[in-house]
Amino acid sequence: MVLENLPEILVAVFTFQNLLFLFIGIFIGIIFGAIPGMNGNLAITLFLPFTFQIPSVPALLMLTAIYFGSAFGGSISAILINTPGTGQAMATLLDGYPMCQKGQPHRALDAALVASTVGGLISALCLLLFAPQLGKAALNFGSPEYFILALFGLSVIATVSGDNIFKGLIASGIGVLLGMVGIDTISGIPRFTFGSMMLYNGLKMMACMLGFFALQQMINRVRESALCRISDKEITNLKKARKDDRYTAKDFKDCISIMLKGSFLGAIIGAIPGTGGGIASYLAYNEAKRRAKTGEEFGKGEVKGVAAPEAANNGATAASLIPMMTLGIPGSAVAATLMGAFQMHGLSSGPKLFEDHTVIVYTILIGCVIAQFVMLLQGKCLMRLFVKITHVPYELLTSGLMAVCCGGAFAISNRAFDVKVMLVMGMAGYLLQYFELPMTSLVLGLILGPTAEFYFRNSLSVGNGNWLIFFQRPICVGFVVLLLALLYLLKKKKLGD
Amino acid sequence: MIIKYKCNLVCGIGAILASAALFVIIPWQIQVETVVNFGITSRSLPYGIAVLIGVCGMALVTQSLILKQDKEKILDLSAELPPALLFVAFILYILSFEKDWMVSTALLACVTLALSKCKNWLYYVIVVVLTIGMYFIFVNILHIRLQSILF
Repeated sequence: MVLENLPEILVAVFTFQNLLFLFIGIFIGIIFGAIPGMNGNLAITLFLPFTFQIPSVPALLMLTAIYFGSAFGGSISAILINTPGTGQAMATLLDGYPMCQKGQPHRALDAALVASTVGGLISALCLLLFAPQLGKAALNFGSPEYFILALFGLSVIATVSGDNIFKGLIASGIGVLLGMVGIDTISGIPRFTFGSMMLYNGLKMMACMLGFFALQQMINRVRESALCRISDKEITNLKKARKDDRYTAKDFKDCISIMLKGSFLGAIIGAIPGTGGGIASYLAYNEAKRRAKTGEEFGKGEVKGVAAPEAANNGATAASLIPMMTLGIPGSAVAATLMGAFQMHGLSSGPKLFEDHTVIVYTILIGCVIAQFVMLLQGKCLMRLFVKITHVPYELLTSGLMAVCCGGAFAISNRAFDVKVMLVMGMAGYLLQYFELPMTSLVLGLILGPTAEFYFRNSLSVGNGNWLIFFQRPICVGFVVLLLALLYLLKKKKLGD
Repeated sequence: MIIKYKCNLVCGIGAILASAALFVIIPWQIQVETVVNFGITSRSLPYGIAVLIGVCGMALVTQSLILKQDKEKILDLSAELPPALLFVAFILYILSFEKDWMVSTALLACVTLALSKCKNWLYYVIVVVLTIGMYFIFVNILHIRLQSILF
């Protein structure tokens, strides 16, 4: 089917519009990744409402490109100001900042850029090669399998719940309840509408996400700025770099094996729900350090110490979309947001995605590969601009983004109600953080809760009320075993942490 | 003024109260369908969630009071003044933005700057220009129907 559509896919990929939005996405992603406290998820959430006015392919290409760009962007501030722009870049600063102090900021930034490109490329190729196969296998799924898959997705709550699983469960419960507002799709009965006609259509997932992820952060920033807790760190001036500060072919040759290893490690770890680039980058860094040759001083400005974690955290990016696109399991907060984005653009994640939207999906997958080259190009040409943008004052960013949020919420479906929902959710999110309720669990509940309920009730109808239906089908049993194994591993990992 | 509270305990009590409230709200807000499929109704999952929240709340209270697994958090009310004022600004914004999105949003952005203790007037100009720019992009390019009495 793909070969039949190949010319159409290739034509779709290389349109000016698609390449332009890929370019814009990478640009936005790098900026949001580079500014400490901002991240790819926030950028995707903020820009998603604006994509409703453009066709699905460029819109989704832009949003996925934001994700890839932000994974690299995090390394810029890690290297220059010893503060990782994103959590994934934590391991990068171990050697990135010392390199910068040694007068090699260009070398460190280029090493991060090249490693990110290699990692992202391998990850995107894994997504392109493995996702369709997994999607094909998943075509045999029925409602019981989908229900277990939704539970699989919800199991990610165990990893994003912070210290306390009970708080994660409470947050996801709140999310599920929010997802239930409106007409029940099976019985047609309104739920939690409180007599408001606006609530009959339910709460827009996007408005809730803008409130919980974006607005809540803005309120926190206002609080921190008022307390003068946000200081403008001095950013290393690139002009202070030494004359021999450049990334050479020898550096590339020395790092290539470590980059490849880190990339594959990242891709494998990224594909497992609930893990992500942060873990992959530390593992890759440790592996590189373990295999260090004499003379290589990790932690004191070793170029391999930048290449390994950067390859791994970018290696995890596209691969983390495999379970989301094929099985409908968002393995991370970003994947959950992107899953919401796919849904809002009429592409329901899951096994049928590849069958129903072959051209669109393959265009996006090939676009993910091209995005890595766009990132390399932008990184090489616009690095000075990205470095300058990290100077933009926090208060200006916060107030500007507040206006963007208000416009974005309105743009979701051209109605004022969504703006009100966003503001209420933002305030609620701010208050809930005092109880340390994790927002990611809440959003996962919001996305997966209604899906789980729908398939659960459908399964019981199919099985004539027999609850054992979930344990009688081989694929279901396999998933139950996998689910239990995943929960066990996550618990073990948490204890290890 | 500073308020000290035990995070797990307060969260647990809040969850139990929320669970109890849900048991009151669910029958009021969700009717029972005339045809019930295999004992599962529109109320089943909401009740399940209410139970889950209640049980987790009790677990948190147990963690705090019996297992002594809790951490004391400090809530500095003076530090909460800017967010509280921002909440008031949000409420005023909710009441006004349908009449004039551009002016309301520009004002909200300026209030955000003011609450961040920003004294640089140029920043205020930038956010106002940004909002006006966004308005025109929204209305003329994205065809989003934002209200403004000025234009």
